[in-house]
Amino acid sequence: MTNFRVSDTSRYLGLVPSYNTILSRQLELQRQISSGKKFATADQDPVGVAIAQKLHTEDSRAAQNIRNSDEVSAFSRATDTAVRNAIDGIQRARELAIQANDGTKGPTEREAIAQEVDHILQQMIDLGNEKHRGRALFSGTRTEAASFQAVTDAAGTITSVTYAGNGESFSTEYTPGQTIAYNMLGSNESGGGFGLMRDTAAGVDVFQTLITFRDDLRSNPTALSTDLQRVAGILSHMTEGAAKLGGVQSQVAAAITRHEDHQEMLAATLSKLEDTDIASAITELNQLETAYQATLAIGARIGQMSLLNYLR
Amino acid sequence: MGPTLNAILNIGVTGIRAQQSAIAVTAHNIANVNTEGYTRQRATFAEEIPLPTVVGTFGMGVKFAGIQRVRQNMLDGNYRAALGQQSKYDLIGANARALQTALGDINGASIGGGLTNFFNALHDLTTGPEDMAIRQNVIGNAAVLTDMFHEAARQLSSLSSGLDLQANSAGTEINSILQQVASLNNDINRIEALGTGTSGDLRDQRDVLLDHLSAYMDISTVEQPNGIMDVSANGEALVTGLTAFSVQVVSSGAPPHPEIVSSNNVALATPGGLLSGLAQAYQDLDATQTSIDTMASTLITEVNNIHASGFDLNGNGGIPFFTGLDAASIAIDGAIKADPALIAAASTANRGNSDVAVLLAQLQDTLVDPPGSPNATLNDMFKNMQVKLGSDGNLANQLGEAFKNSVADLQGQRQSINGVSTDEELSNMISYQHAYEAAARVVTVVDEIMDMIINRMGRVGL
Repeated sequence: MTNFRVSDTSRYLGLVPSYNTILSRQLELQRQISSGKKFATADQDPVGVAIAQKLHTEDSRAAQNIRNSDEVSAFSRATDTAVRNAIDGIQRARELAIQANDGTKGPTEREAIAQEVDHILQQMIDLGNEKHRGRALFSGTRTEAASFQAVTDAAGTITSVTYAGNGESFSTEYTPGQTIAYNMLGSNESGGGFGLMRDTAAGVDVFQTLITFRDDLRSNPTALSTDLQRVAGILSHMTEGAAKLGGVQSQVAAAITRHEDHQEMLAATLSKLEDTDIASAITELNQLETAYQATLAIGARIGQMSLLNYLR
Repeated sequence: MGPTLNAILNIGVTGIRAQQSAIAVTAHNIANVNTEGYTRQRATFAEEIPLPTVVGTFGMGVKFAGIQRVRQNMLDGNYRAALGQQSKYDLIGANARALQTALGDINGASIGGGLTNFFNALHDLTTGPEDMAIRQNVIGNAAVLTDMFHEAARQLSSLSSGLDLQANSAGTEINSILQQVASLNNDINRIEALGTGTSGDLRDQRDVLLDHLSAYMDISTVEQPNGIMDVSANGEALVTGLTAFSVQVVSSGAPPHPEIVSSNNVALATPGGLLSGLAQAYQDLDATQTSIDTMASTLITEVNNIHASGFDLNGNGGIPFFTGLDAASIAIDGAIKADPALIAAASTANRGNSDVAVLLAQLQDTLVDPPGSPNATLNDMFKNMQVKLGSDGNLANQLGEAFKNSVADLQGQRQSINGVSTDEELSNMISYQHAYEAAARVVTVVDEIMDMIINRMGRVGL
């Protein structure tokens, strides 16, 4: 190394930038440690930040899809409970139809059965009007309406049941770009797919069947065997409905699992991308501390010795 | 015959005088050890005109030959160029950083985050279109998003006036420097015309001014034989002889900003230095402003188009959800804000229908920009903006750092030649002091000899 002339200013020249370099790095490390994040602005790692932002969007999307799926699942379970209760009621109606058809029942006993059928009819209307979070389960998108309304005669006997809902389905996204229709119609008389209580395609009408059954018990016993067949038909129709709901539930449950796995993966990747490596940050901070002390010590010693120390 | 006693006495006096002058130079150096741009001065001595005699030619003492300014100008050009680049990239980097701040925190609240929350709220609406609380939440998140747009627009406009301010003060400063350089040219010319050597201190002042000027813009300098420094930029004269021309920094009106116009009304295409940094900063700011306005207007158009196809909770057709045109003016429609039931979530007049809410939520994935051949979603638009500013800033930071190092390096090299070293000055001082003492002793010896001759010679018997 060649010797070069050192002026007083040269001796201090590098000192302030050295302090600044160390102090600004210290500040940055302190920020990294206290915030837990490697980067505060995009210019520190443009590409890394771009990837992280994309992953954050995906993460938030997955969380929202899980939330949507949870709601689908909840609505679907509420529907499922109503459908299973309806199945229980119809099973009871079938037992009654079998009893009524055993040829031993007189008018009094038939009237007793008719009254129980009437209760089952009322129970079906009630089940058809159940709600979840204030939304009618079976009204299509006319969720504010009670799905089914009984029409009664002067004596208060139910003579028919009208459907106040429509044939539209609920729709929400359960996985990016994919929507799911998750409500079950009470009736498809105004369009739509499967109708639980009334299905024009399958020729099922729960209420009319029960009304006819009840009326036949009272006034037309010869038709009771047809009623039995019809009640049995309703039972298989409702079982099909329960199976459909099971399908929806397993579909969203699978989606939830998928999203949760995805989130786990995202969390790991994001952590690698964004999180401060605390151990190495603290180690570096300690090294800087030493370097800072050394630089300060050097600064303090500059100019301590000069020719002046030896002049009178 | 050799020199007379009086002549010898005079030799001693020349020594005393010369050393005294040299000590004055040393004192000046020491006093200016921390003066910016000070160039150390060196006393130079020469022999007096000798006295030829029959027995030989006698030296007649010393004369103070002048003050030398110890400076090498070869580093000035590189130093000034590096200084200009450093201030250019420092400004661009700082501006890019401020623009990033305007867009929001990458780890927290930003327009991008606001957008995601808005879409999430719309997703919630798909599973509960009748729920007023959920509708209110959509309005709330939309309000946060519009506020973020407003805040970004406000920060950008404040940055823009900040740049205007900086451009104007740069203009004032440049013109003041040019005036001072011309005035120093005058002083230097006047003093140096006396023929007593260069005027170190005035030249130092002029060099410092030119250093300062080069941080603002690239300059070229030509020194005339009479000590006058002519300054020009882009071939346009800034200082000629004793005349300073003024530049005009035009920061308002149509871009490009800022426009530097010489006194001949010529626009300087590439002024360099801080001025070029300002031009780049204006461009980056304009680009960000345009991007964010495009993003806001795209959001307004897309949301309103879908919203108009829907029905609100009362079964009426959807009215525009957002009003406004750009980031500064985007707002939720007043009627919808007052009554969230007016959000059109349904594709039919049925309350439970959420088809339009699904479409609105899925706008998140729709490629919407640029119009015609879209390849970016709204979120991508934001991310691209962030990344562009990030890489611009990153580049500027790296270059700024690199030029900072060369400025420091060149400064060190200049200091190594120009700078005052107190040790050196003190050594010189000791040497001058001893020489002074010795010359004084010569005077004393001659004095004693004279005393001997005058008072004691020829007094035999007295």
